[in-house]
Amino acid sequence: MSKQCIEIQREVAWLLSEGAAGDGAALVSHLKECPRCRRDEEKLRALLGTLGGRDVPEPGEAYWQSFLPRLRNRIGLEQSAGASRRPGSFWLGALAASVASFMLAALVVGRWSTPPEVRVRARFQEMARQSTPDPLPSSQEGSLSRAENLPGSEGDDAQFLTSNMEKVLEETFPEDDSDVFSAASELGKEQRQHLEKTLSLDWV
Amino acid sequence: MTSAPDPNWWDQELVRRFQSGDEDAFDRLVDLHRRDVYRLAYRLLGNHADADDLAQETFLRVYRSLGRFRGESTFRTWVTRIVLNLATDSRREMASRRQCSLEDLTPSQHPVEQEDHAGFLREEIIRKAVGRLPKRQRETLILRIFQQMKFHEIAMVMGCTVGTAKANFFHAIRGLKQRMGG
Repeated sequence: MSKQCIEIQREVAWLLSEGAAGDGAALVSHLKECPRCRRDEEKLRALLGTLGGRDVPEPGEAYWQSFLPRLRNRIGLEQSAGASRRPGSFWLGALAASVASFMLAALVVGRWSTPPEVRVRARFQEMARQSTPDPLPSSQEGSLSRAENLPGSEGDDAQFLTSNMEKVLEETFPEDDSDVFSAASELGKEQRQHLEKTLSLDWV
Repeated sequence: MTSAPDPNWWDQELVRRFQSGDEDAFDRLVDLHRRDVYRLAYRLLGNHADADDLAQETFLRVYRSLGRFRGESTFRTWVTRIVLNLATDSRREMASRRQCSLEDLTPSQHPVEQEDHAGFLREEIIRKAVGRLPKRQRETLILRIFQQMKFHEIAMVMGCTVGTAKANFFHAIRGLKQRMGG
């Protein structure tokens, strides 16, 4: 089969499929001269006629009447299934409901912004502010006044001199020379038991 | 004298209405195209039950996607492409479901020459011969012969050039003739 024959047959196929007659001058003259292409055209006409004549069996009016309702039914089912399947919708709803109920409960109880430990601490601070401390004895008051005037007692705590601190402590709380432990050991058994009971001093 | 409205224009109008929230517009589109869709499905799958499934599934897809349809092709072209895609999946599924023997499809078992061309046997052989063409050739042939689409429409549906569509058609015809013993 020549290249021209292939071209002609291709053109014939297109033309016949379009329902047009093969009336191009080159086409007509080739078909006249080439028995092979002419045979091919006849077969093609027959084939296309057969193909085109094949019709799909008509399913009937009842089928067409039910077509849209069935489709609508499927769409409805899909939409309802899609709504319930939407990712996380249930859990998001549950979470939102939990948060809302928690906030409501917190508002009702009135403890939304003040946890218990904060409220207790605030109460103690308030009590401390309201209470007036007992005045110091005059001797200690004087010591403190002097200590305030000592060099290094002002400013940075880290520069407070240790020696000054010891001096102040010595004046404020003079050393007690009494040997408590020795005195306790000298007590009789009955007296020691009485002392223990009175002071709850387990270590005596 | 008023000319009949362009079906493509009417399709576009219904699509626009649907996208504006008019659900009835979808029903109208189904009414207009259901027969073509069913016939194409039948030609591709060869029986009523599968054709019905395919037609319903096609319009379900159309409904899902119509809101995003931008009209870059005609509605008909777009729907045809959906049918072809779904039919491909369906045929694959059918093939795995029933492993039919190739021998029972060959024309040599049927003495075509002795049969009436309009006879049932001939019809069956043509159907099977068409069914055994390569996918793109078969689709092109069906769209051209049965759906009477123009080659430029087929090219849009198949996502190819007009020349490729014509070549596919020619090869389909040639393959069919060979299978028919021509």
